[in-house]
Amino acid sequence: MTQGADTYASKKAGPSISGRLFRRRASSGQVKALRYLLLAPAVVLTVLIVFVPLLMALGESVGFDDGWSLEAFRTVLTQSPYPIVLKNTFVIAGIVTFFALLLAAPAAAFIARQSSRTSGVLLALIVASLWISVLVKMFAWQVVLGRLGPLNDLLRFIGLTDAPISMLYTRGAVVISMVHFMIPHACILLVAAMRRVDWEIIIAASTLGAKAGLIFREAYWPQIRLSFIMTALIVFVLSSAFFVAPALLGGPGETMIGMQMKSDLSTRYDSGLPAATGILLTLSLILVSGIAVLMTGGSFRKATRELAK
Amino acid sequence: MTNYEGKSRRHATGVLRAGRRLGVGLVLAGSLPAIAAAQSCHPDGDPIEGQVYFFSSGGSYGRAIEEAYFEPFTEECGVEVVHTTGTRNFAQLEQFVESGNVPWDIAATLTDQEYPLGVEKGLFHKLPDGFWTEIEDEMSEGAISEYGAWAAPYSDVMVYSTVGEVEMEGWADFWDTETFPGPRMMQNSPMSLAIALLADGVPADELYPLDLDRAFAKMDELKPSIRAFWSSAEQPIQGTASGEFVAGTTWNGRVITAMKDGKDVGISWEGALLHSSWTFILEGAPNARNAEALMYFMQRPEQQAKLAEITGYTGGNARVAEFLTPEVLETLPTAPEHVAQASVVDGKWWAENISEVQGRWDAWVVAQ
Repeated sequence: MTQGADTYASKKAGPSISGRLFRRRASSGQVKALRYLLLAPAVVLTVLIVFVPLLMALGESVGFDDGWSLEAFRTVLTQSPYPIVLKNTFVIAGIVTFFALLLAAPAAAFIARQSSRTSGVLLALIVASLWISVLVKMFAWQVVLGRLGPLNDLLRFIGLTDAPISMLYTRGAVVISMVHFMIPHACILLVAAMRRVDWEIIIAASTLGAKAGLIFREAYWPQIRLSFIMTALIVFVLSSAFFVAPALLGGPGETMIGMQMKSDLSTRYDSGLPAATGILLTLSLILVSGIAVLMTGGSFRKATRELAK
Repeated sequence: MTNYEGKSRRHATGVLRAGRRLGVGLVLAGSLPAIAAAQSCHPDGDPIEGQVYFFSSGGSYGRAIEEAYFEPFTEECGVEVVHTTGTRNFAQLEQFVESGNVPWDIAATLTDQEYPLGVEKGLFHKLPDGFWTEIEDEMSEGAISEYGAWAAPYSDVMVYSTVGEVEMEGWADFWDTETFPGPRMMQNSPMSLAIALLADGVPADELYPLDLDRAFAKMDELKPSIRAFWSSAEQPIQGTASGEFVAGTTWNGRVITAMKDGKDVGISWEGALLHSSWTFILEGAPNARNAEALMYFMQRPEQQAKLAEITGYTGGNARVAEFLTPEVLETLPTAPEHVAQASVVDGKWWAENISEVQGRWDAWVVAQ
C-alpha cells in the first residue's frame, strides 16, 4: 500500500523536486548528499522498526533452551503443526494473490484509461474503502456468509438451493474475505503502473495491423509486467501475514502462521518458537521476492529503478 | 507508580454522588445495623483506619465493584478505598514484591495460572490464622484459602441451538452425534480436553491430572463433527443462534446475554469448567490489614448479590441465593446449584503442563 502510494506519488514529486530546488545553486555532489539526507528519516525508521526487531527475533530464535541452538528451527520445520501451518499459509496466500489480481487488473485498466480527474475520483473511492477496518470487514463476511445471512437468502430466492448451505469456517470463506481485502491494494498499485503505459506504442502497433492478442503480448504487457509482478508480490506478502480472516472465518484446516505465533506467545509464553517461525516466514518471503525479481527478467537494480520511475 | 496514581479515584468523596446515582446502593448500605459502624470491619475485632489501594482493569466491571463493595465498605468501615486502574501482568507482581515497592494492596488474579503461581512464589500475603472461621460455613467449597477468596469466577459452558427446538444437557449430549447430528464448535484451547474427559465419564473431582491420551482419543471421536475452533467467544453464540452449529462451548456470560436478547440458544451448566479468579493481597502491601478487612467485607452475601445483579458474576458465598431473585440466581456460574455440577479448573496443573499440552493440541487441531 505505502509502496504503491510512493510509486504513484514519485511520478510528480520524489527526488526530482530536490533536484530542481537545489540544482541551480548547489554542485552535483551537494545535491547527491542532500538527496541522501532526505532519505535518512525513512532509513532510520526502517532500521529501527524492521531490522532491529528482526535481528532481535533472530537472536531469540537461536537462543532456544538457553545457549546457541537451532532446535527452534528444527521444531518449526519438522514438528506438527508447523509444517502444515506453513503450507496452509502459502497455499492460501497464493490463491488469494491469484484472485485478487484477476479481479483488480480489469478495474485498474479501466481506471487508468479515464481522464485524470475521473481516475482521481475512482481512486479516491477505492482508498475510501480502506477506511473500513479489517475487523469490520471480517465480521461483515461472517454475517453475509452465515446460514441465515443474505447470501443464503439470495441463493434460496433464485432457487439455486433448498436448504441453507454452510459457507462459514471454510477455506472458501477465508479466501473470499481476503481477496475482498486485497483488491483495493492491488488496484491502486496496478493503476499507478497502467497510467504510465505509453499508448502511442500501442496505437503504433495497431496501425501497423497487429491483432489484439499480439498488441497485448508485445506492446502492452511488457510495459506493465514488472509492476504486475511486484503487485502480486506485495499482495502475497500481505496475505501470508494475515491473521483475522483465518481466525474468524476459517476452520481447523485454515490455521495460518500468524495464528500459530499468537498461540505460542500468549499461551505458552514461549518466544523462541514464534521468533523462529517469523524468521522462516521472512526468509521464505525473501526467497519469493527473489523469484519474482528473476521473473521480471531483470536484475533487482533494474526492478527498483523501474518502480521508482 | 505515578501512572497508577494518575488514574486513581477516591471513593470516600464519591459516595454521596454515587448514592444519588444509585438509590438501591444507598438503601442497602443504610439498612445495615447502626452499631456496625462502631464495630470493626476486621474479623479480629480491632479497629481499622486509613486507606486501602485496590487495583483493577477498570471499565464497567470496575464501576460495579465500586458500587457493590467499595462504597458501602467506606461508608460502614470508615476506610477509604483508592481504586487504581490499568493493565498489569504476572511479571509485574514478582517485581513489586521483590523490590518491596508495592504500589497497591489488593487485586484479583487474571488467569487460572496466576493464583497457584503467586502462592508458590510467595507473592501473596498470608491471612491471619482463623481469618475465615466465622464465615467458612457459608462459602462454596474451595472458595476461600489462607491467601484469598474467589473474586468473580466464570465458567466454560455448553451453548446449544434451540432453532430445531432441541434441548441438550451435558457433554455426553455434545458428543452424541446420532441424537444431535450437526456441526459443533469448540474453543481453540487445550482446555477443551477437560471437557472431553468429562464427556467420557471421568468424575469432575478426579479430572486432574488430565489423562491426555484418553482425552485426545475422545476428541478424535468428535473431530469429524467439529467444524470450527473458535478464537472469539462470540463465534459460538452467533453460530448456534443462527442454527449453523448444533452446539458449542463458550463463556457463561455470553450465553446469558444472548438468551436475554431472545436469541435461539440454550445453556447447559452440567460439567461447566469453573475458572476461579482470586482476590489476593500482595506480600508487603502497605495497608495489608485494611486490605484484609476489605476482602472480608467482599464476602458478605448481600454485597455479592449486589455485584451479581450488576454484572452476572460474583464471589463464592453460597448465601447470595437468599438475596437474589431466582431469575438472577440461575444465571450465575457460582450459584450453589451450578458450582455443584462444575469442575474447578486446576490452575496449578495447567501452569505446569501448558507448554507440552498446547503443542500437542495445536498439532491435533490442524492434523487432517
